[in-house]
Amino acid sequence: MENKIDRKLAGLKSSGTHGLMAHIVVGYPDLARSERLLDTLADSGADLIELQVPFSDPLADGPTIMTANLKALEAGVRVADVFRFAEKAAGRLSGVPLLFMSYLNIPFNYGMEAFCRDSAAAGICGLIVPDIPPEETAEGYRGHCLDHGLHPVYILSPSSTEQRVRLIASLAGGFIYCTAMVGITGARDKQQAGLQDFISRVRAHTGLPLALGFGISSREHVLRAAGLAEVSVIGSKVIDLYNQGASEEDSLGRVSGFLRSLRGSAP
Amino acid sequence: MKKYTLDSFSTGGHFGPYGGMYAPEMLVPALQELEAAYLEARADKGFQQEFEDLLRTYSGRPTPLYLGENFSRRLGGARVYFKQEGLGQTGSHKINNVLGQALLARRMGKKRLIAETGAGQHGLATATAAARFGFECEIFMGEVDMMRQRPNVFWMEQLGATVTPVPYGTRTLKDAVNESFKNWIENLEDTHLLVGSALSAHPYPTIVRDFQCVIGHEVRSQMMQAEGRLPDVLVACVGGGSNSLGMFYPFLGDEQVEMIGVEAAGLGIGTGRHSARFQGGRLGVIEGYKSYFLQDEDGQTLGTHSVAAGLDYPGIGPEHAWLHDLGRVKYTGATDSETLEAMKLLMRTEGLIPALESAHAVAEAVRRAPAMRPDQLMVVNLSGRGDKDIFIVAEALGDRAWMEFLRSKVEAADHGE
Ligand SMILES: Cc1ncc(COP(=O)(O)O)c(C=O)c1O
Repeated sequence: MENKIDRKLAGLKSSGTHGLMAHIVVGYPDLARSERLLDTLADSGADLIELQVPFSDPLADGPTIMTANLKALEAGVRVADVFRFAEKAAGRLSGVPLLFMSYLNIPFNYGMEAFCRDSAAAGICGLIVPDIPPEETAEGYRGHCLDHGLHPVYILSPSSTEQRVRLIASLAGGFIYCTAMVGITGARDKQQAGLQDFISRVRAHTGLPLALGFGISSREHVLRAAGLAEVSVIGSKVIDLYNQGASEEDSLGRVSGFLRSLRGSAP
Repeated sequence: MKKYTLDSFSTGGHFGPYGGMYAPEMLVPALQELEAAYLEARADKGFQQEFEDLLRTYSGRPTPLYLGENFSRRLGGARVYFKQEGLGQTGSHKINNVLGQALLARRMGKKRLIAETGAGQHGLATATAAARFGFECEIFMGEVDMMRQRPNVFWMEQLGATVTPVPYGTRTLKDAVNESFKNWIENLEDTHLLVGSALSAHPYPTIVRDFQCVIGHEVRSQMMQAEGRLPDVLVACVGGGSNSLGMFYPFLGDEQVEMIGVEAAGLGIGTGRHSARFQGGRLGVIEGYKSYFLQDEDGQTLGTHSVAAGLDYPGIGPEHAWLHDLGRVKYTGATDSETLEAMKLLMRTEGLIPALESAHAVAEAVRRAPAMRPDQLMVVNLSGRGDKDIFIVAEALGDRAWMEFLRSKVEAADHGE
């Protein structure tokens, strides 16, 4: 069966459009409001959306996303809620492929195979699990993903060695998530030097589309990313904007306006 | 020996099913660089010699192995020896690992040391080494721990370190570990993350254990000298697991030597307010390694409790998880109140003031020694001395005069003195 991510990325390619992948933490600030945030992102031009499963110890996340994780947990969000959320979302937003972003301990506890099976059944198209390096089998993570038609999306960083780029490229499914800096998530202005060189190193080992993420928080960043990768990932910036709103409506308006401004700028 | 030890560098950092390098890709190259640098240093006689010299001249090793005759007589059983790690520089065993890793960081050309700390003992040792070797230094400490271990915060700052409060999550050691990892990811070029216990992603559990093994090697030769034979029982408290592994590891192959690791049972296992990973913890992969963790059904870490900040942590080093499953080391728990009682007994009988963490091991000795024969030998690791705990212990014992003293100090400060 064809994966929706592939169809979406092929569509972007044939129309010469730079893609946008947005991100939410499921259950932040609560389940109902994160559902409306998700719909706003889809309506405002997000091509793909990452649904982060809230976790108590998100090792690769900066203050914005980490705090959202902890608030969602304080609000009582459980893994079972996240699956229900995803299933409803996938039903409503058939044109926007959804991925789960989760730290390993969640699927590890759930049972790796069951997690992959239930994700696929809920309509999820791919998984991003940042703390599974390619050296660890992680209870058969990759095999279970493939068996259930999910793309195992792997991450590469500018610090990845040649050998690791080759190894990870050989395992990746759907696209490769390239971090725009050696760092944690969070909107910022600092730009990593040698990004072009990093992207070329990755392209030398894969024909898969590339998504560039971490720190992308302005129109300029997206314009620059469009010259390097097929997709830009907007993570912390969405939550930062959402948090600035005086009311829910205001928050959604800020997020929507920002996303539309990026879409307008993409070539 | 082979049965209970393995070369973790040939297993990708796995101890049986535990351990590993479950780190985000941004960190993996740095962990691999550290692994390579450590393997080189370990094989370098010059490096080992410098480490030994520092331990001797700077930290005051070897630390004494002291026979507590009064304590033993009072309990009426085994002869109980105390390994006095608290007599080393900075007052705990943490300095052993810190000096080793500081030398390693210098060898790797790093300019900055960062570390997590709970009780503040590891932070204090790291700040001390940073001052000694001229590193920049930043220590991450949960806000709750900063409140309860203020004296260590003060000294870290005086030593020139920046102490950064961690306001997230449970605001204790676990959250400080997360923050130090994130800071490392952002500063890989010039910074060494100086992990303070035998946990985290490979190669840390092995590096920390190796540097702490000086404890067990000394106990071995000191005991041979004092008694002409090996001890029957070794007892140590287990937070992340470094002082215990350091003492146990050199004895793992001596099957006649029994080993007991003591976890913090807090207010009692039944209350759910404790830090005993082997009593209520389950398998998980958190903070870079696979081991037993206190967590809910979804895999979210649970809040922990112990009167000892250094034991107040939901995970346990992966080599302990393996030794637990092999049955080579037995694990028990001591509650806050058993710990305070044991601390009082040791103070009154021997004039030794143990750290609250170490007093957990003393509590196990109080339970176990009476059932042993007078010709049997027990060694309790006093991983640290108790000076840092004066505020907590005074409060727990309800010492009125101390409270008055604090009040008078506050008033004096308020009047601008
Ligand atoms: C004196 C002392 N003992 C023990 C510990 C627990 O750590 P570990 O289990 O790594 O020895 C600490 C930690 O802060 C400590 O300060």
